[in-house]
Amino acid sequence: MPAPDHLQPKEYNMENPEKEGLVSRFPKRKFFSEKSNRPTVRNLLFTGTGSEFFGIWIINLLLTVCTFGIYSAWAKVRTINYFYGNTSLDGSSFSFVANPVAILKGRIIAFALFGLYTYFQAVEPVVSLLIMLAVFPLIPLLVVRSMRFRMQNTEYRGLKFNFIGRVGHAYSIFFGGVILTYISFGILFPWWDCQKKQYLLGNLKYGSTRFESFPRTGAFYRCAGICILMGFGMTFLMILLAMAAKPLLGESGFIAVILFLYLSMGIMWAYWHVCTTNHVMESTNLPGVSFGSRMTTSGFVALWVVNIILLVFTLGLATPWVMVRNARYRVNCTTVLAEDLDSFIEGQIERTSALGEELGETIDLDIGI
Amino acid sequence: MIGEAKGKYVTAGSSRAVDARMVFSGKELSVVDESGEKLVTAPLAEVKISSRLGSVPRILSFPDQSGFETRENDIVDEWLRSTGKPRSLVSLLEGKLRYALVGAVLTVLLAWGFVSYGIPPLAKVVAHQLPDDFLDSTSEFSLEVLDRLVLEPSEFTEDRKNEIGQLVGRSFPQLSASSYQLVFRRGADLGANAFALPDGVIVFTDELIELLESDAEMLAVFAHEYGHVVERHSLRQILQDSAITVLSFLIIGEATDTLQESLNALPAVFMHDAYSREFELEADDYAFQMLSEAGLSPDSLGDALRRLSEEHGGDEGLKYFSSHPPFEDRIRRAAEASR
Repeated sequence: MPAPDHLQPKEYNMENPEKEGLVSRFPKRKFFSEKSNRPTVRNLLFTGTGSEFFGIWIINLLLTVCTFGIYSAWAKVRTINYFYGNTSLDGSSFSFVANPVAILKGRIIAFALFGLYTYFQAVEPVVSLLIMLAVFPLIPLLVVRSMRFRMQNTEYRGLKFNFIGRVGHAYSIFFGGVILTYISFGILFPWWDCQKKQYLLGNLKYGSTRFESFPRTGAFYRCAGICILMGFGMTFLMILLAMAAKPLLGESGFIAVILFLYLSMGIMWAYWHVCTTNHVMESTNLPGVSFGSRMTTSGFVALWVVNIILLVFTLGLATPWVMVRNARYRVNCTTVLAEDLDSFIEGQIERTSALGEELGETIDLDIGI
Repeated sequence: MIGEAKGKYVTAGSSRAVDARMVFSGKELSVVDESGEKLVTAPLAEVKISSRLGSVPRILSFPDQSGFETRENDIVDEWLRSTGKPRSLVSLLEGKLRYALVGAVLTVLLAWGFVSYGIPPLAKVVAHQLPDDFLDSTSEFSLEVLDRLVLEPSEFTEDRKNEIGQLVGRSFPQLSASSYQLVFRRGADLGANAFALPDGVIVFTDELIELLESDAEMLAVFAHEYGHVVERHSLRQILQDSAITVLSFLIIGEATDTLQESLNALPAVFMHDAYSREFELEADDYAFQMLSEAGLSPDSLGDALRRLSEEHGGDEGLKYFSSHPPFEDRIRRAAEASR
């Protein structure tokens, strides 16, 4: 069934079609002309605080330990809800409505698999390898199910999100893409990453309305090119640093070089993440709603360095503050430009179990949106 | 009834949201729009109300699928209490700072107690429940790897090796010959050293035997390594390390993303060495016992350790990053045990 007229994508009659420019032209305050079709910037706010979340986090942890892990499923729902509930768009917040029992079932299966894997790693490494080989082909399937579970349990203004990506498509992207990337010695990596993001975002639905996502492969190659240039620059700097540090610092100069290496790899990774995420966000939209993302490499690196310092020096007790800092940064860097947020309607959903999401976490799946 | 809650009303099946307020009659909840028109009414018992979570807005779902979102959590709680539904214990605990602090202290104590007094005895029980040959294939593999990478064939004659084997057999007649297997290698880069593999293989390097000056010292080193085997230290180390990793993921796993994931492994790296130092002391104690029973002085282990510390140039590095306790401590313990 085709979407009603008012939900069809509209051409923006702006002078500059670049969405980035379009975003920066609007001041960051709320407009009250809800009926007009002019896109306006909507308030996107994160209102959570580290101290409040600390209370929730510590009780989650305590109850999880006391119930030998069973409470962790409820803890997970409460944690996600804290972050969703404190993210509000145009005055309405998001919510996570998953049934903790579904998550618990998934966790038990994932935990059993992980246990078997660890057991056989000690006793019979060949068997643990076989377990790995058995789970590996399931990864694309798990990605799809995990996305579906997460989205189908996410609500905004009473409407659910959904993920409608086909499993076959996931296999071609996740496996076909990996193979092509290897064969091309990594030259196709930016293309592959672009395909992946497009698949994950372009198959999202809000109510009955589908997201559109058209990231450009060229933009990914541009990010990669600058990343490589940065790599050359850093290597050159490091050689200079190593030559300068050796007579000055002797043995400990070696440690300085290692730290510099770690930092420069972090900076390169941050640049890649920021550059591609900004582009992907800006090339994704719901009909009538577009997004902007203004993350910066320096902001991201600063966030990351402070987070590590906080975690190490508090022996992990700063975890709630770190999680809030991450969420606040992400939300503060995102802008939403909408003509109308009131006309989306409910869609059909077939339910998914939580197994995919939990297995995905156990085998350390990075879906990375 | 007490107060009214401001918020947004969302119509059923669409994302249309309007400013509205909710009132409670004592039995029924109603949502009224700004002009005073009633939008929906339902008995409180039929409205699904999300549970209190800090200052997160409450979502009330009416039977007709429409919803109402409000930040006025206290008013909603008040209404619920008046109908005999108190706030859940979990949300009360989460919401009060003093409870959170008690929770923090309790969690830290629990985690610390579990790490120092819970995991080691548990791992000990589990390790002794597992079959004897549990780590045999891993042991063989480890020796193969060591042979390929570091160790070289022993330069001792077969006679010399047999002589040492007979000395051990004679001195500790209570040990069954199948419970251990003496193996000789040239240590090369490892130098004077001895180590035990979980399947009972005890490796002596040529350099160690050349360094030690009496049979008693050699028997003392053997007893220490045999202690590692009997107490199943390798297996317990694996079990304890995995327990720490799981615990670490539980605590900071949610805060670390791709970039910081290496932080998750940090506690295990720290505790690995701490646990390892415990095992060394336990193996020393085992050796003291074995030496006393064989009519030898526990101090011969002290002598052997003194020679090793001279050979390896004393203690290097930080105390908390070492897999072995300082030589002085162990030598002092040997002297105390022989008294």
